Amino acid sequence: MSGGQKENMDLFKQAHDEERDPTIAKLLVHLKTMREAVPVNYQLKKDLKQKLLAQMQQMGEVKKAEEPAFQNKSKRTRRWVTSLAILIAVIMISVIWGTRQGPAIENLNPFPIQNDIVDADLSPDGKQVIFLTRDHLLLYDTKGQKINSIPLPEQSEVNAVAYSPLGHEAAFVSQDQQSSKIWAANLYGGAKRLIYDAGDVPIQSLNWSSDGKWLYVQKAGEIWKLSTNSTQAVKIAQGLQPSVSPSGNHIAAEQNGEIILISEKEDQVKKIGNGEKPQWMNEKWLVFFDSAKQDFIAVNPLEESIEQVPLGLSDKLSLPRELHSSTNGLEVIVICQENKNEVSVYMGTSRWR
Amino acid sequence: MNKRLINLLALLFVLLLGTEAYAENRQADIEGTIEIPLAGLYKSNNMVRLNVHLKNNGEAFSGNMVIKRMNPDADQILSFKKEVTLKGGEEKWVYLDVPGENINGQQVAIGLMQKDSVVAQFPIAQNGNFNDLVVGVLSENPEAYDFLNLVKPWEQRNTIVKPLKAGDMPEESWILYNLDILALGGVPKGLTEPQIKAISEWVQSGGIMIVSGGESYASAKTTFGELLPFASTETSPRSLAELAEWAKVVPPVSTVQGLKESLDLFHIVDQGAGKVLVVAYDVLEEPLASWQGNKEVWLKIFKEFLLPPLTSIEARPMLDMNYGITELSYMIPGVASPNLAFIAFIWLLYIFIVSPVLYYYLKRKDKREAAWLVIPLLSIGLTAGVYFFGKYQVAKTDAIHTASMVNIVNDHLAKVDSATSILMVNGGSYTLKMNDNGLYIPGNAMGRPDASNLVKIKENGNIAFENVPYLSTQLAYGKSLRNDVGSFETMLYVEDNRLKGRIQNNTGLDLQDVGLRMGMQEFAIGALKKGEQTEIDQYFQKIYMSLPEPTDRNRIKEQTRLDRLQSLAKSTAWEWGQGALQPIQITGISTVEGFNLFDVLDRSEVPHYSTLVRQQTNLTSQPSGTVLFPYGTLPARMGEAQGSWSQFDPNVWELSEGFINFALKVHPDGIEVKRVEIPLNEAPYKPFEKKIYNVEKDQWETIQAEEPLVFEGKELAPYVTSGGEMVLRFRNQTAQNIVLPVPYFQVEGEEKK
Repeated sequence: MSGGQKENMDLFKQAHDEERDPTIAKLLVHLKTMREAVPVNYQLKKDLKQKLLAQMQQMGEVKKAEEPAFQNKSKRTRRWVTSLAILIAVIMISVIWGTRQGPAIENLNPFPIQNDIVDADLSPDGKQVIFLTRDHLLLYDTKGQKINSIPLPEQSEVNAVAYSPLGHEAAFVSQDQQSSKIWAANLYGGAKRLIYDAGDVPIQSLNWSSDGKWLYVQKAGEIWKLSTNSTQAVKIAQGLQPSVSPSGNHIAAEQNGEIILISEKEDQVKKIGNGEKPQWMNEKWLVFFDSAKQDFIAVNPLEESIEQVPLGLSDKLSLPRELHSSTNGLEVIVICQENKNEVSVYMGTSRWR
Repeated sequence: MNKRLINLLALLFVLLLGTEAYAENRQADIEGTIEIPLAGLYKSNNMVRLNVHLKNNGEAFSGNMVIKRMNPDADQILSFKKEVTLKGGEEKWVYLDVPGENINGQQVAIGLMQKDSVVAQFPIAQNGNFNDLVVGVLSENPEAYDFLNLVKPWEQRNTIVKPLKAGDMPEESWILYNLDILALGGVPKGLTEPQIKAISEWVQSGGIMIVSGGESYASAKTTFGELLPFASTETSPRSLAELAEWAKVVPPVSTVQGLKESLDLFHIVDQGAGKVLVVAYDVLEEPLASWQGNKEVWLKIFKEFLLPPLTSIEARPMLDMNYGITELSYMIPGVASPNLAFIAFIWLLYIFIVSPVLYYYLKRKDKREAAWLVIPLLSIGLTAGVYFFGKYQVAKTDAIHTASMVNIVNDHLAKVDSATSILMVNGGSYTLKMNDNGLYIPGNAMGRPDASNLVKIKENGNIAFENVPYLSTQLAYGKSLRNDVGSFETMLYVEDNRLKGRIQNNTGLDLQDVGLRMGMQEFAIGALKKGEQTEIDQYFQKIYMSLPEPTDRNRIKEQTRLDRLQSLAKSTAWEWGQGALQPIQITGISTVEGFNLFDVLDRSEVPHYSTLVRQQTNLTSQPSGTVLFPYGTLPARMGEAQGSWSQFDPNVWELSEGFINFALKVHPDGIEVKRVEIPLNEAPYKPFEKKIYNVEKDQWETIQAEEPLVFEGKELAPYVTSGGEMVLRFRNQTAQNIVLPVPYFQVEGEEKK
């Protein structure tokens, strides 16, 4: 409101009041006169007012500042608790989901090297792959980087390769017209040692025991275990394609189109189901190939009622033939039979309940 | 002004004079001479005794004796100190045992130190060697065995032949390890009982002694008695025709006087871990003493009899420290590493609780400047708290842990290596007393001889550790020969591919784990208490090579002392058994009992022990009277090689485009061999072309190995060398590198009567 407007208002009020009661108007005028006549320290008043306002403002700000901090803190806590609860829930669901899920092979990709491969195996630590070709052992890391190339004995055919459990050697079978031999090649030095000479009896399939002291092989139609550092050779049973469990307590093999489980100590044989090429993934899970379903089947053969779990690889790959895993069972390679003399290799991950 | 300058200069001059006078006072008037036993012979990889004769011509002296460089920095100390006190006018002998490497090849002196200054020094003569073959000759004739100077069994090692007098011989057996061989011929008079005992102990613990026969034998027999094989000193004429045939030389005479009792011209016997070679004739007698043909004869003697024991582990110098037991000794029971979680908790408590609370408290009280005092005080208090309470978390009491490797030589002698770790919770100074006339080797935590430690040797030989920080582990390493260990009594034989018999623990220890090793096979026996006996019946496999053991780093971290001792037994087994003619190795382990080489004086510490006991033993006859040495139990050594070859493993070679010869010890000492079987038809040997050396015809014969190679009765003779070995050649003509395990074989025979 400007000064002129205020004066007009006062005049208007005065005229109006005089019209109603001239005594009141006079009294008001008198009071105003009196008030103006009292000496007031306007500077002090102004300062006090300013201080009061400043203090009030400060108090107001503190209050303002306190209230949002508290509110923020509680909001943050709520957020943290909610996030944590969600995380725990996700983990629990994953765990429950994982345990409810059966074994599976996932993330399959073709290995970058695929030339003239006769057989292949995955290293126990899952970081390297050994390829058996007609004239070389080729050692690669899982990214496809070549590590070593070891020439094989000349004038012989080769048919199987298996990593030793320590990962420093690979056993392979070489066969010529006179004899079938098992060699072990040092993968880093390249020197080869002759482990076994079977004469004219063909050797197929190699499988190391987890302590590296024995090789389980198929010698004609029989399963044998051969010492890798002595001359001991023991016939186990009739059968094909033996695979020994990590503890060495059980041998899985194929017998007349059926997978059997042999317990050496207890001298027992248990039938698992129809299939071929059994392979232990860990102490619990055994995988074999079911030619009728053209798929790999995982079983827990030590349970009383054996549930067969198809791994569904026939949907993903053409003609899968063998499965090899790392010691911890997390990495796998799948060998597929492209034609009679050539195979292709896929790498993937696996999960075992 | 000039006067002032003159006064100042005069004062400076006086001060300088005073300094000179002080420097002169630092020199003590002490004369010193140094004598080294064995006429000054020592090896740089051995411990050496320096006998120092001191004569004090001045005032009483009290200080330390040290090894110091002559130049350029005269105060540089190379060795631990030895306390020395000398009265005015006193003269005495003081000895100092030092690593040879500290005095060899450099200008060094014995220094006498008072406080931190060297007050006298006496140079040490340079006479050490590292690689030479050192033969000490103890004889009245200073020219005895001179012909050995011509014999060089190793191309790159010279032969030193040193005449020794009775006075040169030490009274401590370990000093004799500065010799490779001690040759006797007409033993000089004046040898004391302790000197004779030292020589006898040295031989039994791995030394090699050559004894001249003929007329010289009598003095040796009188001095060393039971150590020598023949009781009679009687001689008779003896033809040297067999010598001519054996060494392909023509002797200057056809007959000599030889020991009547000795069937061979050169007769070698085991004495504990050592060897005694007796020559039937007198090597000091002319014309044989100065015969040029001695060179060929003795070269052959070295090759066939002396090289294996010279290179065996028993003949190793005394300076070698065993890293395995040194490391093990640090595993003191009851000592825990500081708890990292606890340390982190204290640290976080200080940072997140104590500091902010303190800050706000001081701010609230408006005394922030007090933080300058409160925070340092708090830190000091916290540190003191951690020190006083924390150190007892690491170790509650003072403790010592002695890890020992005991090699039993026979019923009454054992070589003991002991590493003792001493942990005094509050540190300080303490003294060790050494038992059993042991040899203290100044060593560091890496198991390497090292003289730069806190040790001072007292005048009485005790070892003093001074001003050791709290919770600081100190190491004392020593070697000793003990007579109280005892031994394992065995009666073991192989029959039908099984190891049978019994073993009795006659050692002084209750053993928690006993194992047998034959060839490459191990048999677990289990616990065996003192005096306990157990029957053995185990299947024996034909193992031709050992396999690598998987290494699990987590497992190594979790290893107990028992695990460590088992690993130690395993990892040292091959080296220990190398060249041994006794095929069975017995190991026993105890984490409870052991032997004290060092006693800590004036402290009441808790003793702990980790002990590995080892003994080699022989196979005995089967009940039928036959002795069978199964596959892999008799030694085979590599000989000549050509092409590309390398050793992959102690028992495994790799070969391409060349050959390797192996000499197989098919004729063990004391056995009448009836049958030898070498399974060269087995897989590992199939890739190779194989030949055998016919000694009689001096030619190589090809082996068609479809079946094992078998020699029975007299078939063996043409293929066995005079050293009882059969030589096989393995050739791989291809460029493929093929693994060749050392050939293994089985020998059957009867004990010679």
